Amino acid sequence: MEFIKAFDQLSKRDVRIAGGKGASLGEMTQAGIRVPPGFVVLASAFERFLEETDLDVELEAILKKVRHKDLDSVERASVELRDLIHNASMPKDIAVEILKSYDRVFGKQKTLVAVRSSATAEDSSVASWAGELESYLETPRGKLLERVKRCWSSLFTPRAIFYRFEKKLHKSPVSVAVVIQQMVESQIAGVCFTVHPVTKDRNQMVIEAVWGLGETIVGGMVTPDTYVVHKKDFSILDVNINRQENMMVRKSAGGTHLVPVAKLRRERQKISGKQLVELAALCKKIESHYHYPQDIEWAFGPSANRKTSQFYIVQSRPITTL
Amino acid sequence: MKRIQWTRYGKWHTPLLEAWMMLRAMDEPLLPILGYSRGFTHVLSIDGECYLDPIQWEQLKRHFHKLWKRRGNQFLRSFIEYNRSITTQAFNRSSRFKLPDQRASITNKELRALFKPFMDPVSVMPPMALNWTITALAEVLQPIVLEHIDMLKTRRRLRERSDLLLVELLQPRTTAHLIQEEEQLLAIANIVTLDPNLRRRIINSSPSDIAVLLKRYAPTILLRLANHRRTYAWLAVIDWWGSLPSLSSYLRRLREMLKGNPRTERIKRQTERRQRELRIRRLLAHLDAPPRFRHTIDYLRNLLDSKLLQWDTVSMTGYRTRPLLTEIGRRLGLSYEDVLHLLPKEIMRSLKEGLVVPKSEVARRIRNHAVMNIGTGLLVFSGRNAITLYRQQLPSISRQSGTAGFKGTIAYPGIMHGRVRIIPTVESLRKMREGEILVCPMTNPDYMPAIRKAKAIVTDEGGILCHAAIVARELKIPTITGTKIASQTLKNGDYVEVDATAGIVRRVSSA
Repeated sequence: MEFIKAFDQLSKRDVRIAGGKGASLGEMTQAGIRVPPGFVVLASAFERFLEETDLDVELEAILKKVRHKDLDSVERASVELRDLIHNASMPKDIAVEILKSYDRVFGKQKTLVAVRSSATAEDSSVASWAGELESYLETPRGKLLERVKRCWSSLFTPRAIFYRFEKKLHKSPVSVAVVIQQMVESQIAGVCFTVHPVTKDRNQMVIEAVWGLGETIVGGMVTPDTYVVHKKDFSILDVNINRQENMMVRKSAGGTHLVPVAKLRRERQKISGKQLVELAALCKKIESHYHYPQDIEWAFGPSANRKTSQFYIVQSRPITTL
Repeated sequence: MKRIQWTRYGKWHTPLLEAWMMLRAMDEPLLPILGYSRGFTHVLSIDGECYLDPIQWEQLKRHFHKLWKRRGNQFLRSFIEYNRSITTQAFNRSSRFKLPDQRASITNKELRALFKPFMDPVSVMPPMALNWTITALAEVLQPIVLEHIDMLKTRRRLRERSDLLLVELLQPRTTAHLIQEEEQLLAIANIVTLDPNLRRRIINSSPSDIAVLLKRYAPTILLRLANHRRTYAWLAVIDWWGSLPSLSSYLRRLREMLKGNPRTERIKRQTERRQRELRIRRLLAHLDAPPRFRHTIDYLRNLLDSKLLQWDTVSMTGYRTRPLLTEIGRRLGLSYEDVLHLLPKEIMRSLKEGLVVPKSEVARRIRNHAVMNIGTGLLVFSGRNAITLYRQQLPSISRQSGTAGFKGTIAYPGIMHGRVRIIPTVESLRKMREGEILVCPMTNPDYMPAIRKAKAIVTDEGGILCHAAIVARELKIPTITGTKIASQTLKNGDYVEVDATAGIVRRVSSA
């Protein structure tokens, strides 16, 4: 039985084994859209874990006792359930396979990875689970197995338990896959809207870029560069360079902090014309893949072997309101 | 007593303490570095309504005119630098009024030390005096700049109206605090969008439920909101008044932002700002404006921003000193409002010897108060005496007869139709309804709640650099200033067209 799959072995039909998040990463990889490298610990691993440790019966029994209107009872059950999972040991073959995959994808370097839960359920309800489970950022190899178990147990956080009763999902089977993906230490990062949000011109896209991690844009800490690119011929219609004093970087021990930008780079344009065209082409590809205007988060950072730098697509979602 | 031909400057919701401080500050030399060693020695403030001696006003304007003739842009630059440094200093130093956490444990002596800066009003509120000088300067410069645009325009054979061109050119340069606040809240909304479920739940919850939700699932966001409130709550303080916004008011606004798309909203705002700059650059190129004129425009834009900063400084000072004044009041057995009607020296003495002003006198001052300076120092009147002074100094001003349409200065272009709401003084602010047209003698920061609801603004006084004009630009509300007669000619409920692209107000139908 297989417990692990690389992104390029998955497609959007694999929601049942890899969850919504895992399947969509597979889908993007298949379509030739570069996402930060990683792999998925399939739901079968979690099910195997439950069988091997005989936890499934116990979990069921505890869940049955929950009265979801009573918050205290939900919280008590959650603590019980999660402790059971955390204290049980992971079957050896699964543990070995996870660590092996880590080494295969990231080499022997100390790459920090994001460990995210990806709920698997009936196709219709998987979307409603998105974002309900836990994620752990900046995980070193040494904490990987523990965090995978935490992702599994996040099926039983008070929030998730409450949610499954509230949405009447407690009758339908739900399981969890775990996505393990490199945390890109971006030199440049930003956002791309494949439609101009102000003029609503579908032939123009707007790209924003900052030095360092992209969180500074969303958090409003830094005013990014803004570029307007024509979608047909990738001509650059407008360049607005903004001075940047500080950038966010990842600490090697995990966590982020603001550091000053090198003096020479403060006033400089963040992405060159050539890179801009490359990025614009990439974003256009995503839009035509999904047949809908997209709001894309991208990063420019070292590749898995750390030899070169390249663009990664961190997240893409449809723009529903303009 | 000598009678002066006073001109009205504006109506503020000013307590005696502030009126007294303002008049004291104005009595000082206004612009020592610009060689103007005089202050306004003839000023009258009655229940917050302020009157100046027109002769002194003209003198200041003549002085500005002379300096402009002699030194041009250089004069503007030093004027702005002076203004900005003093205002920024006052803004930043307002934190010196902060009370220690254990406020009950400090002695009266320590309170006196904290309050002491009030004895020198210039150090507490320099903007109070400076604000007037900017208005005077604007009155001098407006016709000059307009004439210049006229000239450039004719040379290039352009058809556009000069006053519209000027409004286009005078866009804000820096981001005002009130806009900054919105954008910071937008940033928090943006962080929420990273978690689609949280966003969905916030949209469907009441503010109190949102607080519980955030506490449980996103404590960092709640923390950021609390921080945001601490940083910007002072914006709700206007002068000394206004209640601080509750956390749920921010939660409500966050929810509204999340109903839209905060991600595109953020980029929209940035692009708009960018396009504003591009438009100005294009317009100047279009006019083939010489560098000297471009600099003048640049300085004028700076001046607008620093005027806004001055009002912010007054709000900030009001916000920062409120706990101090409240604590002083508590010890003297007075309310916060009572303390605002004591003079600084009375407060200092009272903290030492117990309340030196009878409570009945404080009550009289709250009802009516006046401060007057006719070159002999400050005189304070209360109750009936203030009313007598008012009758004596200001015989009723005759009302002008009504007309169907009248003109004013365009402060922010656009055309709006709507029902008139006349707000002659801040006391009637609460009558303002969403989407009405605000008509008043002149706005000031006290009017902000009404301005936020207004579809368009029409004022009797002011020009392109007045409060209404600056705020209208920031909030993009079509506005006509300086109509002279609007608040007397129009009636509540009249249906009017405010054509702020032509500068004309027309009455469509009467109430």
